[in-house]
Amino acid sequence: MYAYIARRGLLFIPTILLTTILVFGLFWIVPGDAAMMILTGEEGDGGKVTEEDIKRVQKELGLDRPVYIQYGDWLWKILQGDFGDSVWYGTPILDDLKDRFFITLELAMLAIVLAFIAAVPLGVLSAVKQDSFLDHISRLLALVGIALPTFWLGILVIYGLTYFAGWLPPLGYATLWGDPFTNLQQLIFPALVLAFHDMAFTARVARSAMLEVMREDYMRTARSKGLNEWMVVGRHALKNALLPVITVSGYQFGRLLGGTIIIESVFVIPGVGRYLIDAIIHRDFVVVQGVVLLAAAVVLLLNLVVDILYGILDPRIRYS
Amino acid sequence: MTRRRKTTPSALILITISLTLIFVIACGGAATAPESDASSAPASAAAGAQAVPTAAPSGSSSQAAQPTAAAAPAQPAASSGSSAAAADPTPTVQPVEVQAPETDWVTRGKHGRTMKWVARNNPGFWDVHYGASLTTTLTPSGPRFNQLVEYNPVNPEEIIGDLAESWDVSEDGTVYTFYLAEANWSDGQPVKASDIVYSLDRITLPDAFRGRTNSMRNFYEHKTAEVIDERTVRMPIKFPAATFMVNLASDYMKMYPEHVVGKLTQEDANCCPENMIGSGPFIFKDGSWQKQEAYEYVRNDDYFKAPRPYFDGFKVFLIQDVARAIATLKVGQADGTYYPVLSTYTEFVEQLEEDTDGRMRALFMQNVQRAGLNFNWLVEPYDDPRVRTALWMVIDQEEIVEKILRGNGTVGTHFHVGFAPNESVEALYELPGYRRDADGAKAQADLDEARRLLAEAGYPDGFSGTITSILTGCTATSAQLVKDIWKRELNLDMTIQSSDVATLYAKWRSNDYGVIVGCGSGIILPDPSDILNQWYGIDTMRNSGNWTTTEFERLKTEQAKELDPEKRKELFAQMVELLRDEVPHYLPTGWMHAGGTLDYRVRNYHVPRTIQMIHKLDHMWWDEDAEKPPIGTGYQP
Repeated sequence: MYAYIARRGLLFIPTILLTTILVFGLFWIVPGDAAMMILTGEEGDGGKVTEEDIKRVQKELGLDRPVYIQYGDWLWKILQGDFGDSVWYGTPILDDLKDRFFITLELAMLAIVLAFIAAVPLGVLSAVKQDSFLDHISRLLALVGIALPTFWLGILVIYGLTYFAGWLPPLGYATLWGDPFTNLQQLIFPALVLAFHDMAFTARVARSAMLEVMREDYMRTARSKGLNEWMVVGRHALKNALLPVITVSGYQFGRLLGGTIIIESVFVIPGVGRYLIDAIIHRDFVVVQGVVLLAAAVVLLLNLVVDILYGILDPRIRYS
Repeated sequence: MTRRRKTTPSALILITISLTLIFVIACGGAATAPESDASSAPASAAAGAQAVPTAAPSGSSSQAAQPTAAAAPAQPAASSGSSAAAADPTPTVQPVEVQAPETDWVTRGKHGRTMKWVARNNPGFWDVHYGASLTTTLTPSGPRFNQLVEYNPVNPEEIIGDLAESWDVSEDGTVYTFYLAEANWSDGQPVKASDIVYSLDRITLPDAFRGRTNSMRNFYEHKTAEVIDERTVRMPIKFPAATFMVNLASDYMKMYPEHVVGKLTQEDANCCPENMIGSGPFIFKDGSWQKQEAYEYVRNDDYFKAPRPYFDGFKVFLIQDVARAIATLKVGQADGTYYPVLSTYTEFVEQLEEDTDGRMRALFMQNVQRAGLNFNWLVEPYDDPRVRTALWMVIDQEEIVEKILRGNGTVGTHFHVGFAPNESVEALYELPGYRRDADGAKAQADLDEARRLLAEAGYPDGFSGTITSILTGCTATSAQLVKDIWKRELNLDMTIQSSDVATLYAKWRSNDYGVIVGCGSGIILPDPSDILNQWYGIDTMRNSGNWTTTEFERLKTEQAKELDPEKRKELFAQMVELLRDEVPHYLPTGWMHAGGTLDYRVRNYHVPRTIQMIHKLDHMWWDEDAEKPPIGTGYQP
């Protein structure tokens, strides 16, 4: 297994490189650069801006160099552990990222845990009680969860809290260590919103997987041995049905790390998402590259963890 | 690899949950400073700030700095100290007539409360001389600085002294002598004349980018100001200018301490709020800026305009999402919107007033933004003035106001509504492009004329093209309406190319567009010369093709030098006529209002004439016992 992990680890390097090259290239193709945003201001009603002004700021930011030099320079710094300074803020982005990444990670983990806790029992029950009223409700819930965009649900939750409770999560982010109760108040609602969507998808996968497993011969054998139904479902069916659920959850977790942008904005969570969207608006390529690098590394790591979990769940899988 | 392990499904689930929870706990230790519940009682930031103000401000400098008649612009030299007057080599006059402002509010103000504001934009550049934005530079950084002169916060039409307690103007109008109030920087060092000279020279530093302070270069030649004595500055200007003081009073013309800012690089000044200090009413709280989250100011107890400021401090929460911002105000997590703009659509704040039972009050800024058509006059078919006229003439501006601005605006004029005698709203309705038929519909004659012009220009069957727009707000909706009108009336087959702001600016700047439908472009100064700078200035983004004519340039120069207000208005009337004849690159389709909101207990806020004015917050206070006005009456100062 260690050799397998090492091989996968080596594959990380070209994958991350390709990802960053792709993002860098896309950023280069898209019109507009940070110099223009600095000089014109966000409202675009800045005063006189000459070509010389633009060239001067581009030079200050290093944007006047060929794109491959810019990329190479960025990569060289990364190899030395330097993520660089934001071209918009002029501050080291690693300082910002290390705080924000953990905020987003905490939100994503809370969401995935909530989704998993709700989805697996829902999917199992739905499969066991196939075509029952419970199954219909569960499927309807799943469909609603998949169909409702999270940003819309987020706004509905904000409205619901405002109008019915006259309360909103406190402003000013509190860390889990500093003030766990406030932290929970701030993160639980965005996590529930994110979890609702993921729960819906995961529940459908769990239901399908359970239905498939429950039609297997060994299930009939288990029942014929006289095991009670919950033992059959819990011990034999669920274990085998969990493989696709784990796969989906791993994928969703990776997606959540980069997909909380709007939710972070609605719930005023200072995570990576809000940082990233500001960076895109300002064409702050150093920040975008840093975030992409981090996200790519985490997603790759997650995929590896999921693959290892396969082996634990299904001993027939061999790492070769 | 084969590994056999007895693992039950329930155990697996438990392990997964436990591991995840461990991760959750482990990952929560971000370095962000813990923040108390925003709804909790604010901590007093300044010792003694709760003291009831005395009957009158103490100290002569404070007294003189109040917006009283004694502090009004252009005092005779004799009133400003004999030594200063004697040192000034130029004879002085006193040209400005000033309305007597309300004077008792300074002593009525109440101290206390750390305010909580909602703002939608994240700070960017903390150097006010450098940044080109209200939201990312001025409002975050401004409250810790002063200007030499300012717009009177309780009578925004008037310019009064800020760090200057008085000033003289030479007979020929080209030399200003400013007499400084006794003030300190927040590190305790005195504000000296040399700091003012340093700041003026920094604002006009050659080859340095100056986003919103660039206009000072039109008036002041770098390195020509002089220190007369510790508290007197002599500032020559290039010509007797009608708008010099209008520009100098701009909130962007901040005065910096030389002994602090002189040591900073431009990057140091921009990046980090802790690097700079000022003499202003509030002091930036070190370490309080959490990007995309919040920043905080505390009261400057040594402010030279004692007993101001009244607030103990304030915290600005950065909430991008407008729905969340409204919800935050609704549940009472904030006392108002910072700037205090929330949205172009004033019904949001009207609704908020109702929803909060009158706690949050709606306030409106009239005609502070513009809507219009930006033509790339360098490319076909928009290089033909007949095409530009035809495309503008078919636009029903009342439809724009009703459907796009939802009633929050008026029809478009070239300059501030009603400023030029020939641009009163009544006069406009007699003119092509604005006329209405008897049934109230857009004049058929105008529609026919537009078709005739287009046919004459060689496009009898219309043409196809691109409307460049941004993805959100009234810009997106007005682009759609304009497209529909052009299709309906002129058979134009236009495609809307929506983009983000950075892409739009890049295309605009490089003239890579046909038409840009603009909506919500903000006015900076309360003077029509601001429109000349923004929309008709050479090398500005809004005039990227550098449209002008020799006559227009002549009129621009003349208006800048004309000191007689009536004669100056006449020059603007001539410009209006010229713009109608020559059909420039930009044709207005509407003026727009903006809406903000404040708690009724926030006292003494007076709506300025532009969003960009009066951001020091040193004249407002919180009055817990204030009487709540009836719902629907808006904010009352």
